[in-house]
Amino acid sequence: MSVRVRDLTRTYRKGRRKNEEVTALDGLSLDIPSNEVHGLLGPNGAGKTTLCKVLSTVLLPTGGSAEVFGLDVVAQAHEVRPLIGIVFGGERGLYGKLTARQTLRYWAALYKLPDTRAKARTDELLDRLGLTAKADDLVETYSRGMKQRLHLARGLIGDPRLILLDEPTTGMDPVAAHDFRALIGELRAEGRTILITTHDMDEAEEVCDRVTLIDHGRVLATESPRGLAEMSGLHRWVEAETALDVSGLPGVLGTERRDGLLRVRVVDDAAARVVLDFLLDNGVRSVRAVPPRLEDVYLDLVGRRGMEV
Amino acid sequence: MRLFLTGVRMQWWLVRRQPDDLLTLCTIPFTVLMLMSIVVHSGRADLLPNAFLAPVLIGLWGFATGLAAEVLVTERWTRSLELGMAAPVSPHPVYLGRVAAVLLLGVAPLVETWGLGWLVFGVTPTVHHPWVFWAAMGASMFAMAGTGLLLAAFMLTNDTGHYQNFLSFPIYVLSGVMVPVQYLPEPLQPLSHAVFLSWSADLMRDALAPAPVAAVWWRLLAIVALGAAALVAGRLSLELTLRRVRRAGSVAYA
Repeated sequence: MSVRVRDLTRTYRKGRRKNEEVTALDGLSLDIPSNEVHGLLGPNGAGKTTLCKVLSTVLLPTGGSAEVFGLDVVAQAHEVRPLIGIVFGGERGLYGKLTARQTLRYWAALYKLPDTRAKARTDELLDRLGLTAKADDLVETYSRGMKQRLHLARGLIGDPRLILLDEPTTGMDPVAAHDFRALIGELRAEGRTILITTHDMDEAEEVCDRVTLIDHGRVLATESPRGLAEMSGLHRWVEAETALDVSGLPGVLGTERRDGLLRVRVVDDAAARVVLDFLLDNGVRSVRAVPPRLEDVYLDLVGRRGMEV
Repeated sequence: MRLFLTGVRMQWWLVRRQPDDLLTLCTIPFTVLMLMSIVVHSGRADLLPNAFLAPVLIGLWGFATGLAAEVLVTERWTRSLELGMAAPVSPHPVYLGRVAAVLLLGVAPLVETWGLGWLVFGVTPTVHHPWVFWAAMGASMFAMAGTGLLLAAFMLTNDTGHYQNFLSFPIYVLSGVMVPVQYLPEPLQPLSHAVFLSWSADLMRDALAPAPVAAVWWRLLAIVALGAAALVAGRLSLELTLRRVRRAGSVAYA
């Protein structure tokens, strides 16, 4: 087991007099087996980043326990740290006035790599992340995607067994995000365990073996993205390329259009059949019934909180 | 030692590309002009060593309270502190190295002051006891590194800028950098002995004078001991601060 969390609690004191208590993690329990890509999904303030901070030893829990590869993150923090790599999203944690090579050499020293090994590892990671050509350019001149690759290289410098990715694709363009997801697949193939926090449901669905939905510091559900959708007992969907109006059909709960595609939300399989028959009878050829997507499950379980945190 | 040198190297990389960090050096010429003008035009050649040393030590202190003290605050803002705390090694030697690298720049005001004195006023002081002077300078830079780490740790939880401002003139006065300690009101003089810069200023002034320098080793020891005390206090303060932010959950500002 890579991560074993039991009844983990973390509260903060807020306010001018620190007399307001905020609960970020509320008795959270979670197991992540080795070599799994595990997604942490939840709205802002749900406790995702707090959990990552506890696992990375930079934050002490106020209750419960957390273990990484069987080592307690509080009592055995020194043993835990070499096993973990942390990757932030965006600009956080990078030095704009250093080059990628200098950044990696700096962190290599902090991960106790001897000089010769540090140099080799730096070159290896620059090459692997496609940064060799720009290795001696200042980080501040990098695109968002390049910065993210550097973040990942930095996180990998110590050859960690567990990688914590905190919203790693925030602000990335689709191509960069796609490449990044491919990299996650490679890292998994190398036997590493990956815990990724994200707001991007498509990303979670694509890369995660399992996902955990959390809200208000509690686990709402843990399952594979597909399993979660099927277990949720949510409404079915019918998708079709058509301009027809099906909102009056029995069992139809609502419709939406996305990229020229009509999406029809129906109460159950029987209602889906009615809609399918109607569309086929009216000459629509591109039509299919689909189970709820992770995003639907997320919205159903977490609620449509929008900007609320 | 390797981590310390890593910090030194890293800070040099950063400073080289952030000329704004060297603004302290731009204030030195004005201090030089002010003090040298007073001394030269009043015909007080005996005060030349004071006029030369004040900008040098003010510059050194300026780097300690400015750039060095902000090393950790900047780390916290950029969230690199969090990554440092999650690294397998203790980050203290790295941060000390970064602070020390900044203070190596403290040699620059010396060159600047000597150069301006020669160029503008056509005078430079004679260093009658060069090894004492350089030993005092070296000891002062060590002490400044310790003090810089202490300030950096303090600033980590008191990042308002007020303290940096507060720590300029009171220290210049207490340390005898501007006015020799013996001319200060008597009740203030014992306080000065707790400020390593007062020992540095006295010893360096004596090194510029032709008379033999008394109690060199004891005075060097005083500078080093006060610096070491600041270093230990800085190390402890940083350790306690990092523990506190880890417990309080305030490692990052965001």
